[in-house]
Amino acid sequence: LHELSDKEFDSLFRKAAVSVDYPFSEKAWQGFEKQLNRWELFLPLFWRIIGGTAILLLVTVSYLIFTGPEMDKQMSGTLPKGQVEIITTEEEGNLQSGPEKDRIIEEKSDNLEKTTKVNHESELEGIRLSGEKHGSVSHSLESHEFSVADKTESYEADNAEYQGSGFGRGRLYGLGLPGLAGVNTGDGPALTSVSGTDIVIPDKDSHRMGYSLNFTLGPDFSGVGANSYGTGTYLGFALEWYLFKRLSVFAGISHSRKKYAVYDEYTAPYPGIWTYGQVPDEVEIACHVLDIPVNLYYSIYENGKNRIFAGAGFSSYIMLTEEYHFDYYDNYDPDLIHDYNIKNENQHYFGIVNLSAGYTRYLNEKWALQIEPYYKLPIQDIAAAKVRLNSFGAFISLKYSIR
Amino acid sequence: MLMVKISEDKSLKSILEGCEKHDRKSQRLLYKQFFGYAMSICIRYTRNYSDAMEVLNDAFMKVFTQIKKFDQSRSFKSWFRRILINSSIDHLKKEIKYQEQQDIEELEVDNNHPRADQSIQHEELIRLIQQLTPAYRSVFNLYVIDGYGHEEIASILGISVGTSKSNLAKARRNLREMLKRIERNELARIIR
Repeated sequence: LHELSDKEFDSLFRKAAVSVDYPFSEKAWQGFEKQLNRWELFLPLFWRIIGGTAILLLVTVSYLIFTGPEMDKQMSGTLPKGQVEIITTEEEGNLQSGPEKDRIIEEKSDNLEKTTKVNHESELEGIRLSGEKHGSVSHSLESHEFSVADKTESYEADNAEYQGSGFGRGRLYGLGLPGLAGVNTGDGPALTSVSGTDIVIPDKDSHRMGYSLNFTLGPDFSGVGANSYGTGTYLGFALEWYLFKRLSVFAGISHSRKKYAVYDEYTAPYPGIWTYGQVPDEVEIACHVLDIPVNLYYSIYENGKNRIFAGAGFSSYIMLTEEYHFDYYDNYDPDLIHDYNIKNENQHYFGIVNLSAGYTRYLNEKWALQIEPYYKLPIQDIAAAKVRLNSFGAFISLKYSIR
Repeated sequence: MLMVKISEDKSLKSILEGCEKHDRKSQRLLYKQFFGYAMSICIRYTRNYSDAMEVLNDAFMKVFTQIKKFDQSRSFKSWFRRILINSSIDHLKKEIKYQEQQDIEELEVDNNHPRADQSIQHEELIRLIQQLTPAYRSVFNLYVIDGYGHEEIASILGISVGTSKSNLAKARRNLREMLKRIERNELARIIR
């Protein structure tokens, strides 16, 4: 046979391929039916989760759309020509921060509107301010715009740029024009304006620019298909870099402990590893994984100290250790292999899609707390068992801003 | 004969319609009707029956979940064949990734089954294909049995045309070597 020409040789195998008959196996169908049942069970659940998330997003977006303009209508406006200023503070104490001194003589305020009568006697870095002002101030939380209802007395200032201290930093661009106005700091934005020319809006969200260090921990639930999901842990740190005000890139490294069990067809992974002729009925798996995520985050909603965001990206898994324990129901053969452990044998670069959404609460200028439910969707077969390992859970992070 | 063919087509059509509605009986009928055909393809691309079953089930799962994409005016068998080959190639790619290519000297021929006479059984020839390394097995199957050209194979497997040709030549050489060994062993057995 081995001396046949290539053509004859090929023909022999071609004939063999079409001649062999493989009779239908009822057992094969039963195995497949189980797989089909699980899929049909999982599919509605999957769509329910997607549907629920979509509804939640829709409600959030609708809320923002329908409440946003109303707030703006009430609160925003432009500074009338010829008027100058102004500064808002939440409380008197904050007025004392920084080198300037603003003494509140009279203040009336409700949530959105504030009348402030202050006496400025301060000498800032390069800015000299003096005089008295009296204005009715509206403040838009959304657009950071202010309006002044009453005429305010003018101030004098030199050309300068000022950056106040405290949580709400602001900039004053003194243009050397008469009627230039004022500055303040406090737990809120500081606003300065120039008579008849510009309004300079300070960056209220400056703590969201630059970088932040994230320290993360949380539970991790991992599993394959509809098989048993086990509870593990997730611990890591990452650097988040704000590309734009709403968009940030996130990269880090974390350690994850994943535990899960598989049954049926998942117990027979690729050949030569650990089946050895006998397929286990159940495999319990535990592994230590280095998870290297690279994600993009987009802030869907931001207001003062609150942020709602969504993120997506990829993770690379470096499998540090993999421990497999095989259970054979009703089979007590002493030669059966029950344990299989390996180290540093499998790496899956960008093999997992990360999806998450969460909420950040800024505690102060530097620190923030964040909760972030996540789902890790594999696009590669993971580990020696070659399984599509799903993971979900919630990250709880402490963030530290660096500028 | 024509009547039988039309009746079969009609029957298949109603089975496929049932599958679209996720009717379990129709799914079972389709599985039963095409099991042998599917296995005859999957078995050649995999190392053993267990792997072939895995690929076969993957392919059937794709059929049942994507049945609405099937154009009923076309041949179901051809559509299914493409799914089977694609699933087999996906499986082979994973195998290639994890398995070092073995040299011909390292290949272990299962001497208990094949016989070294002209009446060597077809199943035994298929078993020899299964013993090829994944890279050689994929090219041999695609070119010799499934009728793909080298350019198509190169595109499917993500290799060059030259590699495809070279792997085919090596696959044939390995198969001849295995057959030679079997013949030698059989001869020795007869002499004893």
